[in-house]
Amino acid sequence: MTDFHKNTIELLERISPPPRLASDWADALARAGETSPARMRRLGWRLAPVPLLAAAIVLLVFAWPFGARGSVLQQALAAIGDSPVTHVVAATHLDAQHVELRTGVRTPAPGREEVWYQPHRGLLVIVTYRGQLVGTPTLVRPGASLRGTLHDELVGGFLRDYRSALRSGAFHVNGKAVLYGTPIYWLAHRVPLYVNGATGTKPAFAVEEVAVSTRSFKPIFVQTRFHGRILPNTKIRILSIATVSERPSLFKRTVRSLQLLTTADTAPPTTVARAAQGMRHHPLVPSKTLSGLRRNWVGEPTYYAYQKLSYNGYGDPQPLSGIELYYGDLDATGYPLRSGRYVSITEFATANSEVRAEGLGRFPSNGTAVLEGHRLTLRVNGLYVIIDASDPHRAILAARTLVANKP
Amino acid sequence: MADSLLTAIESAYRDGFARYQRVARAILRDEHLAWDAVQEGFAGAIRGRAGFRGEAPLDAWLWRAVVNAALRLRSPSSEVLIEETGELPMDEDWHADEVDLAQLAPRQRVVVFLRYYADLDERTIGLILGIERGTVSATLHAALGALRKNLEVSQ
Repeated sequence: MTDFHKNTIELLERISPPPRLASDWADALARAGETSPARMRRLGWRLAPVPLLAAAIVLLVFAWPFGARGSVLQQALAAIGDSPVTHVVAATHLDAQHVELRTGVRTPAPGREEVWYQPHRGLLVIVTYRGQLVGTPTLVRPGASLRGTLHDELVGGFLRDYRSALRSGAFHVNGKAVLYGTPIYWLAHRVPLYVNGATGTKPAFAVEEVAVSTRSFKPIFVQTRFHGRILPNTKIRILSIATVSERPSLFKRTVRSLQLLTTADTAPPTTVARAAQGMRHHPLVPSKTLSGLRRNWVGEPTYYAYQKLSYNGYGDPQPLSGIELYYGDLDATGYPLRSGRYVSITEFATANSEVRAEGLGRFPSNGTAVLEGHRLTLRVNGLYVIIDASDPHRAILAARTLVANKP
Repeated sequence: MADSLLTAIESAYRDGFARYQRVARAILRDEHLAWDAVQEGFAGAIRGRAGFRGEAPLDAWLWRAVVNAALRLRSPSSEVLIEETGELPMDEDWHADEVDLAQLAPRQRVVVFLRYYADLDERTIGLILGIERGTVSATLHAALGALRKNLEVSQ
């Protein structure tokens, strides 16, 4: 062997020291979805005469504190502790921005969710946006669907499944990366997704991707992917997560009746005068042309709320009082096309269920607005305004026009 | 047949775990991730053992499973939101000499690890990576040339 080859081998030996993590054949078998019957029989025969010793060995294996096994999933499970209640604080709506309308300056304005979870008591979810409560604190009983709740299965869905998915090995490690300056492992597992909205029953599956710090093994970020794309509004930044002792009083809140909301592509046409009568407030109506687009439609809002019935169910969705002003092309049937270049302005006179579901913090009234994607919300002249446009620039221009033209 | 193959796989796992772990760690530069790669590689081999026809040695087949599992973990398929994409972080105790090997092309690195850590011959490495033996030889030659240069500079 030449000196060079000796040097190479020495270099490689230095680079990769002998592993500190022990082998685990049972884990490999479990990942393969099988056990070895022959082996189980052998073990059974050997351990049968000494059941107490067997029990002690089993206990030792599960309670061994030194983490001889190296699985990322096991480390992640251990990192959040094993107390009965899991508590997480998370930032959501990470793409939302607070916009100073006069200058156009934008600053990040994420939402905040705080969730407490205990499997047999349920999920307590407290959502705030810019310091204001969104809806009311929600208690989701064990086994109840998160579908249709204000948080749209975000933090609650993540938290409800996280420990059990780690424990069962449902997660797969997808690789390593750097996120927010922190080295992380990507973990992923399949989660059910209801694609048809509030009334849909057809289940589909998405992939929830969790970024776990390589140092603390705690999750720092979650997102959900469907058909290869990140679903809008599914990015969550985990600010803190830990397990804590029993807190039964937390879960003694009254279960709130959920207000299910939906939107439609079209709503009946109306006039400004008729809308003003329904709203008991005069709407703000910009000029006939906005951002180079002509106002071709005045209609009822496309926002609807399901009426909760006295029995366990919901009635037909009812329109919310307000007005929609649409600038842009109409389709062949004479309704708003909502593609190409367009601006849609919806105004409500009261903090109705849609406004409360968005959160009052999303409707600032001091010449600022909240922008998320190409959707912008603000409060002008006492009206709650939602602007949906083909691009953020047009949405901001429309908001500026409303603020400039208020009486 | 299936049970005897499972016994052979278990035997290879128990005897060679340290080598598998070291090669996977060398590819991934992360001890925990390497552990998962070995486990996933062997889990895949266990699941797919019915498809093993014995055309290549069992050893090469298992190495291929582990190396593929490590490479999968090394290159996440998903284009995830990574705001500050940078070089993957190393273990804190990773030796500074790693820099020398990090300068090698990915395939060169894998070939060097398989040749020197796993002590496999060029034909077996070719079977594992699905490339010709001549390509293995050329890749190894180029990698050793680059390493030689680095060693000479460091001395």
